[in-house]
Amino acid sequence: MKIILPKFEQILSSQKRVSLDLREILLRYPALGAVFSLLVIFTTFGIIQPLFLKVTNLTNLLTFTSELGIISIGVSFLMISGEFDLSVGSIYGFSAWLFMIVANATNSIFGLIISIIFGGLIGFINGFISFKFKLPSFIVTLGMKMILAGMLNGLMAGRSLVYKSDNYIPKIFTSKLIYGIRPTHFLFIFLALLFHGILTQTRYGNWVMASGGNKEVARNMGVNPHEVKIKNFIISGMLAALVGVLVASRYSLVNPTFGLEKELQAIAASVIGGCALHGGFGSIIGAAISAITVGMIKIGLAMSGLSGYFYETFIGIFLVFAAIINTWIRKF
Amino acid sequence: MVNIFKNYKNFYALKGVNFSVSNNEIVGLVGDNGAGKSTLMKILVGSIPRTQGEIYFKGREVYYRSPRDARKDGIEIVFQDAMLVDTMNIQRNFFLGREPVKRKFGISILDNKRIFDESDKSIRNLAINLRSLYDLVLNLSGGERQVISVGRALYFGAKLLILDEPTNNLSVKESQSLLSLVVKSSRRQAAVIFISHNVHHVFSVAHRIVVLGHGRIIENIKKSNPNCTEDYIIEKIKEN
Repeated sequence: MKIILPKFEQILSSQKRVSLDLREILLRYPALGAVFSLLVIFTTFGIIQPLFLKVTNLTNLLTFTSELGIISIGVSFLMISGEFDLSVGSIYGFSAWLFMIVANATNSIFGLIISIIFGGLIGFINGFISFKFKLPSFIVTLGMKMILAGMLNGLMAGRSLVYKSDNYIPKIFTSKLIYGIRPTHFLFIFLALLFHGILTQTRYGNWVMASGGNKEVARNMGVNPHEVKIKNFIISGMLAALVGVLVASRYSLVNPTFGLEKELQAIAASVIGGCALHGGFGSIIGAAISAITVGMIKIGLAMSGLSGYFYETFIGIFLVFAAIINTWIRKF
Repeated sequence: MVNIFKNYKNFYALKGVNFSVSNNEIVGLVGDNGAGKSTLMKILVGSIPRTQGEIYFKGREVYYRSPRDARKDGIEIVFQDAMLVDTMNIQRNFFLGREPVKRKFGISILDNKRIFDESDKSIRNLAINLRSLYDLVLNLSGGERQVISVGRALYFGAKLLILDEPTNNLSVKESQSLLSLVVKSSRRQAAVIFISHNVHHVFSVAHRIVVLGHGRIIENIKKSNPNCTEDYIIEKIKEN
């Protein structure tokens, strides 16, 4: 199917009129596919269950999908640079606990700072071990996931921890404004736009794509791919830790199951949003929008009277389908 | 390059090689597989360390630790894979590692207009017809990739261009395109070292031909020498 965009394409192709087919449009703007999927799923559930379209339902949806979304931003940014982080769920859970421990003992601001430093440190360790010992990041971060999850289980011994500190951080991030909108929604949108901007409009973003696309070429052209990837591991860790703090603030409670399987959902959102599994290509906006879509499927299923137990089945089908389409678009 | 030795444990890849190239000269470096051609060039640009010997560039002794280092002095090597990232588009590849930026609201962002305009202008001078600068490099032919890589090196002011087996995977037409670009570049600014198995291609553009065999220089002859024919060069390669 060919679509001719004369004026736009004339500017883009040096006064030469080039027609783009649908595949090329999706290749050039990978987030479009994610937007399309979101609209289809939104419309479908809206038709099946009109209550789905209620504003407070949508803002609720945005609350918990923005948490997955922020993690997905970090995961997709790292994936585009060619690495995986399977420990984000455990970083999130452990940081939530760490935030509460520190906040209960001192104050919430200090708790936030310590948690984010912790997340960044784990990210650095993940990257350092991967490159120092030439191990695939998949394995290193899988190991880290288990280490942190086990430690959290052990330290909490099956019990929950309740928040007893001040209201600063909870109020700043999670208080309800009008129609259930929260500051975390704006934070999510801001972070998605920020990282999209870094990827597409900065030198560093070019280095991220090159490091993921072909690290030998990147190195030969003057980029330091290991440095780029380690920075992205740190960012991924810090964003996961931030979400831990947000969730702990919202629930005023932490339990050992926090963060379970979040890494898989974040990777799914990144792939659905157009990120190539081997790196070098992707969209932060696409990953962020897909995180909303993934959450929307869960709530939509429940509200439609369909069993929420089948949620993972639907996500799995969606993921494979999206991967097939994205591979057809990219041809890699 | 003076008295270059390279050994790997008990194996001597290069044995006392003296090699030079002058301004605006195209030197063809030929030899059979394992002769040491690529090794010699990798030592020059710092991809691999030398065991012994010195290298002088524009009158001063140099020791490059990586191709990145060599590039700062204007020495660029283009390998067969053209040193482009498949998953990125042509213009982003063109400026990879040397991206122009502009300040906006106090932060440095890519100067996308300059990236587009200058890659467009450079590529149009290369006499290849690309569909769009937004196309991914993955979709380009081998010839287009090589030409873009060479064009990139020239745009960034390469004073010495080293082409390692550039025509290996190219069609006849693409090879011709690349060879005329090589001649044009040597006339304009650069010295060129052209490594190839294909004696015919080398012969069509080189001013001087150096034959390497088993890590030593076997022959070093100007094309203007009446003895220098393609058959003569091929014989020299076969002898060793």
